[in-house]
Amino acid sequence: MSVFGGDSWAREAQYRKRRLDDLAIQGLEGSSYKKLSSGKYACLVCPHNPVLDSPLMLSMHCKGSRHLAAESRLKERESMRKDEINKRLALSDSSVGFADYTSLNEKVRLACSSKPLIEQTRKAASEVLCNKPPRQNSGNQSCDVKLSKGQVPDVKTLSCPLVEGSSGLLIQHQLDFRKHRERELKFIEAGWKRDCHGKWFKDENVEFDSDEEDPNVCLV
Amino acid sequence: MYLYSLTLQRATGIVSAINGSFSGGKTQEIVVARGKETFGKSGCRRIVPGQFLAIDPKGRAVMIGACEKQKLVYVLNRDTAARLTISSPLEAHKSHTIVYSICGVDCGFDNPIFAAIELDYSEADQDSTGQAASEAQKHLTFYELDLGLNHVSRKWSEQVDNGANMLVTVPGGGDGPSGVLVCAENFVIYKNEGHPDVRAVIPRRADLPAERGVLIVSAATHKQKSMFFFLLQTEYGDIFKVTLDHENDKVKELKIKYFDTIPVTASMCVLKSGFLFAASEFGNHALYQFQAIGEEADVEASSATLMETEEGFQPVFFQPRGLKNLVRIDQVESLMPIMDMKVANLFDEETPQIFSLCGRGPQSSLRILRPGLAISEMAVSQLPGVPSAVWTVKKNVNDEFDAYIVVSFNNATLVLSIGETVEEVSDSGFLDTTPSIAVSLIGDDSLMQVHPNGIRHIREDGRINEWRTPGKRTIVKVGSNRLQVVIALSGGELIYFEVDVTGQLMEVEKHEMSGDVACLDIAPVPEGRQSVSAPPESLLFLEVQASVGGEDGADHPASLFLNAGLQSGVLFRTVVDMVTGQLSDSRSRFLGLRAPKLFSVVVRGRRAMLCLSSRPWLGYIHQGHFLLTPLSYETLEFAASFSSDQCAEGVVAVAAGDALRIFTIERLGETFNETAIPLRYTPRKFVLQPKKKLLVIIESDQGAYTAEEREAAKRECFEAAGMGENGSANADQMENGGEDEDKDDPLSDEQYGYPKTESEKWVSCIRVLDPRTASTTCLLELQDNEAAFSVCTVNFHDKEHGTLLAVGTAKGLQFWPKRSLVAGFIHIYKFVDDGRTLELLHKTQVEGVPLALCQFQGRLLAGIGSVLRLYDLGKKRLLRKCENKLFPNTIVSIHTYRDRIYVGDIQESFHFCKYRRDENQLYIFADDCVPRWLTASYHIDFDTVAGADKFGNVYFVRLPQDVSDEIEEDPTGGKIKWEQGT
Repeated sequence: MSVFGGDSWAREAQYRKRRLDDLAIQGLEGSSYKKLSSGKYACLVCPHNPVLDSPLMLSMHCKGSRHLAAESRLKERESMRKDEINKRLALSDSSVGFADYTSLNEKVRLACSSKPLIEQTRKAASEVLCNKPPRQNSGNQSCDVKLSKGQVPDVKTLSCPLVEGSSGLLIQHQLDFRKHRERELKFIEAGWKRDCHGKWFKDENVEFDSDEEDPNVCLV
Repeated sequence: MYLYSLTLQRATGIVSAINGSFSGGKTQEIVVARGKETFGKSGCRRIVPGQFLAIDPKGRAVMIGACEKQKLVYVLNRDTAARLTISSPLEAHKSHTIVYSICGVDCGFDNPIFAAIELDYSEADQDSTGQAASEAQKHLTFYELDLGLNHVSRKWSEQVDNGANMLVTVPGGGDGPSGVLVCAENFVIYKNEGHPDVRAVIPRRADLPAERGVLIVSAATHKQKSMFFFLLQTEYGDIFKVTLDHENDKVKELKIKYFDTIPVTASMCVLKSGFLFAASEFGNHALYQFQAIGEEADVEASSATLMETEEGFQPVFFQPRGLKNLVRIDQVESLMPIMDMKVANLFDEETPQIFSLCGRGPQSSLRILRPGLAISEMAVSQLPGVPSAVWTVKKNVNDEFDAYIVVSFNNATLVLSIGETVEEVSDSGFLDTTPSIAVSLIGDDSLMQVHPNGIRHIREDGRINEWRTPGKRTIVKVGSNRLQVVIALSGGELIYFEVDVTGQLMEVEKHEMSGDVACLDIAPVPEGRQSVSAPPESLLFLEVQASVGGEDGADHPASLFLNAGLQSGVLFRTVVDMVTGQLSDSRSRFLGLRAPKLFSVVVRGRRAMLCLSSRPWLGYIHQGHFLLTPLSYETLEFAASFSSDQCAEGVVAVAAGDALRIFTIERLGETFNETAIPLRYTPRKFVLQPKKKLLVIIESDQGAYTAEEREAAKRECFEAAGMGENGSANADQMENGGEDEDKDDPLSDEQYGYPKTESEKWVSCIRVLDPRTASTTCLLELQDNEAAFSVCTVNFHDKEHGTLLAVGTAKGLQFWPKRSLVAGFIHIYKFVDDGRTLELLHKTQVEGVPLALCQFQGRLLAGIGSVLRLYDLGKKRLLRKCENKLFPNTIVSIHTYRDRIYVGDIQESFHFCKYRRDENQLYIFADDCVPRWLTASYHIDFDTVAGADKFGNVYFVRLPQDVSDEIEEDPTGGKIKWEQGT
């Protein structure tokens, strides 16, 4: 029975249990486990990702020798990875990330003379990046830059001053694509859907005005 | 996370009030309970004792009851040192019983008895056919505490009306017949053990629909040596005087006579001194004085004339009238209930204003709260030039009132004499061709004017002594009290004067200073003592050379404070040792952007301090605490206290410009200065239009007539009463008449409440209000039994209309026996006439009550029941574009920020949602794990919302940073979908 009496015993009991769980988990690092939709917990440290029923068991598991061994291995790997990243960063330090390209143009030129090889590689890489099919590019934007979080590259700055020769066409292409995509989104927002042939049809749960534009006509 | 809170305004509603003499002496005191402390943090539980409390009239025992089952009796005693002792509780439980009311029975010094209205539901619980439930019967039960056996037993139990809701103790033990009054629907019944029922009908208002009953909601008893009577108030506000005609313990007749009508109260207290305190749960509290005790003839129902026919008991009708027995003499402001509130700076003042919708029914109002004390302006008069300073002086130290107001200009001095009127005089003896630096009373009866070139001393008989400054030096600063004057000359010389026995002003001492004197003052002379403490004090003040402005000794019990306003706008307060002049314990407070000038004024007979910075502040002592609070007034330049027979404690001040202002400070101790604008019905919600500085308010009430119907009914009533001319209807009277509370309207709705209709009738209106002029620029009364419940402004993108107003309404909403409605609607209005008027664009029917509306990405989000829906604007109606039906109960609030939507559910706290354009879908990606009953909500930041629940908790819900990041880094939304299993 609840100490207060009354009819909300279950709710309070649930709350107490949750509080207990919170306390059990409190000591653990958030990235070392994952709460599954089933309410169970998976340890992300151990290589075979054991699934544990309750936070209490998870906390016990985390004290086990196998887990500790896996953890130290993981830490080692992590530090190696960090080293590697640092190394790469140091290499690319004189060159630039994708972001504000224009402002650093001079720097790049300077770097060109001193590190011709790196510059060439970088240039090649960026060319490859830009010639990628644009669809993927915009779709994966945020994935690309996961490492350098916060500086989401804008398509314009990405492609503008890059390669003088093909740039004009490329920019036009990309802008067109963006515009197109924006118009498509407008129609999706308004409740249009696409069938497997790419044809637009009205979602039956959505209401439309009588004189609404038909994407089948205006998006050709 | 820690939340710091500061109470700006304590609860103003009163739950319960009693009167008596508690602190000793013969004073009449009223004790009120404000706010509620709940049991077990989640509201009152069914079986936790505390819902009801009854006391034995002789003070020997107390009964504490729960809504259900439990009742505990505590025996009260006094030990040898006359301290109160409380025994351990005795149980008087009865399971399967619901309690409606309990009270103590006055039976003299016999064993204490408590009476309770109870309903036994044990049979109803077992019977699935529902027959037992429909036959359930309320009982009146007497519980006796046997003091000898220390035991509680059920003594007597008898059936009462099923409408019984309240018990009132009848005096006994020699003062009366003992027993109780049972207040039931339409009836008051006298009951006692071994006594037949005496029943009388409660008179009904003539215009009350037949289906409505009359219930008593509060009661007060007045008892004198020879007589006693009860005042019972009905749910409509009518007070009835109930008297019992009795012979010893035998009650022969029960009379119920119409007494007066006042707004519905939570408690009434009849004071022995002839006052009635009416405490309300909602609306202002009032103090009434008895003019009479209802001895005159009036509508009366009596047990002797009660007629029973085939259709039941015959009702008695009456017509409410103006106050006859009571007269209101004061009221205490109450904001309860606050329906909605927003903080905004619509008036472009230094601090934002709080706009709150308060009250209910005819007592509704919009209140604009500004931090600061309210002032009332007595007079504003134009002056011939730009004044630089102002003083008031008395002619004699024993005078009660000031004689002159002296205003100094750049090159002249103006003297105004105070009498019936304030007018300019030239025979005062003051030099008017020069500016003044200080003007004051000196000695017992002479006046002093300090001007740059000298001191002019005007004796009572008109003789004038003039002291001139040596050489070309001028006086720059003056400090004076009644007997001492210190002046500072340019170049830094102090000269000290004293008034001698003959009333002559004598130069006593000179002191060369190292630098210029910035300001100086002298402490007031304590009674019966002439202390010479001036030179050291002024030296001490020299240390604050960076400062400009004066200082003031606000006197506090046995201590002297030095207050200095610094040029930086900071007020410095230090304690001055009365003997040594040592300064200690300094405190500072930033007052405003200008250097504070300090003036001594009188507030409630005590010295107080007025600080004039970019806004005026008042430092005063209230209930033993020194308070420094801003005044709700414009910037002032110079001030002096003012006292005349029209205005005992005022302030005369000059402000920027050329006006002289006289005002008084009111309602000391309050935090807010409030401006109330009356509304027609209970306000529900409002939106601000910051650009146009207008408010749009929705109001609705259940069971009331529309304004036109009311007006027509009133006219009819007046015509019937033969006073047709007075009742001439004009548009103003349709408002609650709150503009002028004392106006002659014989039946103001504020006082008498709206006439009631059938409960399924709703009235509602949408109002556009200009808060600066307190005027309504547009008022749309909704027709056809529709009531407005939600409102928001919305700007549909790609559409030509600009900002529109969306209002969610329900038609024919009913809560009993089951929540039902005919239809819900969302109205879309266009603002025309510069936002001052509304024009209906179209109206869209929806299947539930739209309780929450919000703009989102150029479209309208609506919470309709448990459905969250996104609408776009169509030509003839709103177009449903997308919806999510996964909310648990009812959506009551929606906030949006960027692409996130924060939805508040009535019963299960907040849900965080996201709209995906590329799929045209709304996702719930997080919800609160504590199921809270949400009452108010506010969006704090991207991951955080604040809410308040039904049980008085304020809470903040924040999405963990990693979850938030995860959501933002999941552009496809696949993860949310996968985790939800959809």
